[in-house]
Amino acid sequence: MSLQPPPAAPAVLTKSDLFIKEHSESWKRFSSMVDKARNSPKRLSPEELREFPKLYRRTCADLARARSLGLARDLTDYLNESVARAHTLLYAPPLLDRSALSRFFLDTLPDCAIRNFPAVLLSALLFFGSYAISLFLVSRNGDLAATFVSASTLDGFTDSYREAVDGRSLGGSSFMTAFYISNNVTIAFLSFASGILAGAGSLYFLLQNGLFLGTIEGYIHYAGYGANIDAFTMAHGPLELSGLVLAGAAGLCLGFAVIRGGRYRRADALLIARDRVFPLVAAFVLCIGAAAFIEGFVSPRAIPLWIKSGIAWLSSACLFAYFIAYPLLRRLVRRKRRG
Amino acid sequence: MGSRVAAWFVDALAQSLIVACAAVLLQAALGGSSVLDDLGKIDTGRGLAIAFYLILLFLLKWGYYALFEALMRGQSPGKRAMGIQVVRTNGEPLDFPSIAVRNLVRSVDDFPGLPLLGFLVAVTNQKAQRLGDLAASTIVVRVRRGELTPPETARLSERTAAIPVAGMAKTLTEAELGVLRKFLNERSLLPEALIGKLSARLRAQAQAKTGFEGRGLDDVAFLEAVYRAHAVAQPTQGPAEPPAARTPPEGGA
Repeated sequence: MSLQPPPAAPAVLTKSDLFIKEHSESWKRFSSMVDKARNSPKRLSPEELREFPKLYRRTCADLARARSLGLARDLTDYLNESVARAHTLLYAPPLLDRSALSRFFLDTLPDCAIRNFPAVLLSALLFFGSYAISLFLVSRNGDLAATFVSASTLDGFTDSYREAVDGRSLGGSSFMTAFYISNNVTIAFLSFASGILAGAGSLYFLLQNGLFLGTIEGYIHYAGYGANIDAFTMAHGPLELSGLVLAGAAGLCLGFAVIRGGRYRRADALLIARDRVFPLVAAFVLCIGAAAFIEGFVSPRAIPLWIKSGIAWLSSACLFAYFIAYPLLRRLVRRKRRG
Repeated sequence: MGSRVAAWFVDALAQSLIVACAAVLLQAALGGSSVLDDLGKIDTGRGLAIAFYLILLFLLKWGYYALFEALMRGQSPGKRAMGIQVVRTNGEPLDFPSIAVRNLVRSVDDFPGLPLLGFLVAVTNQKAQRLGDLAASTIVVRVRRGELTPPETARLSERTAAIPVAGMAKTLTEAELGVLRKFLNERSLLPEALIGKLSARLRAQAQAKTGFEGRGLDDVAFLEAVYRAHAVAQPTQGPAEPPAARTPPEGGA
């Protein structure tokens, strides 16, 4: 049965056109609301906010109907895009809010070391292992040092530790702290980030850092200036080394996810790893940042050893309490409660 | 991909500018004396100035992108200029872990020892993800510019109104009609050579499906006739769904 549009009618309409005609009012209203809000719902008036979810639901329903009716593709694309834009507006959580922050510091962050215990353990073994081995070997026989570290670097370090540490001006301390932050945190970041290469990068950084530090320490001891270097590194040591281990652990987590996702596809494994890894990153940034301040302001000062040693013990105790004792206790309590 | 590279250039330029400004300020603060002879003796003011400079460089290196991605929901200035955005693979906007991981792994993408590693990875990847994107499960997408409007109705020429269409089986689906409409409305935007090819192709397909011969008609007139034939009755307030008898079953096309 053919159809001739009446001469007065303006256009030839298909089912899609009729569908559009019926609903375009609300779609346009919806679209303009999304435009007005741009990225924050705060820009909408209270009435608009009340209406928004309704319009969203209606447009979603229209999209579903349009699809099942098999309407024109550019129509469903339009609706799809309209809904997609609004989805972000409606469902995106605020980037930062108080409860999320407190949850992070009271719950997620302390838990990160235990949660990723295998990675942390492996990282610690790699790092402290290489550190201990090179320290042992080089302090017995200083000539070995040259195989790990260049001669010029060794000389440079020997020079700095020839005399007992002397203390610096405030300006010097600020400058050096900034240097330590940018240098050490960068190394830690690299140790972490290189984990994406199937963990190989983190492995390399952990071993290399361990070897380097152990060699330097061993060499200085061998040369007889051991007391000086100990006096310098004592105060900030625990924090900095813990930070390095955590960074390596985070990198290894990434590596695990890339190599064998376990029960998950690689993409999903990476998604999960991302959430595991983030608190570790926050942890090592805080540790190394704190260590940098101590290294800049405290370590170079000629204050009595017991104070520096006290700081070392205190920082170790805090690390232990926050990252090990507190989360373990919470887990214990939770398990008891469940009976 | 090209947009990302362009955006990267814009961002690199912005970063260089910031560093340059900071360096100038630093020179001024140091008051001309450039050599740091004895670190131990440096005075507070100068020490702080250098400290700030170092921290700024550090923050810039690691935090430039992170800051903007957090503030502008996934766009750095370069990306905003090119109209692209970072989102998570599930469509949601970025959250802190994604931003952190994505930007930290950036250092591997830009690693000096393995040049263009990130670029190479992105080029071989289906979703154009560089290493940072893979680690954080993010992708870079285009942001739609301009207004979002529903499709227009078909603009047909008067002369085709009276073409007899007896014997045409109205078996084209709505989706197919949509294709016709789009072609008829927007064909002037296509290059000349292409219009002819497309219209011939569409005609052949429509002919096969509807059995309409349309002798003596040029391609465009043919298509318009077919389109008109499939239109539904429409008083100004049309029914939401025309009677079922007229609608072809969904499974077509």
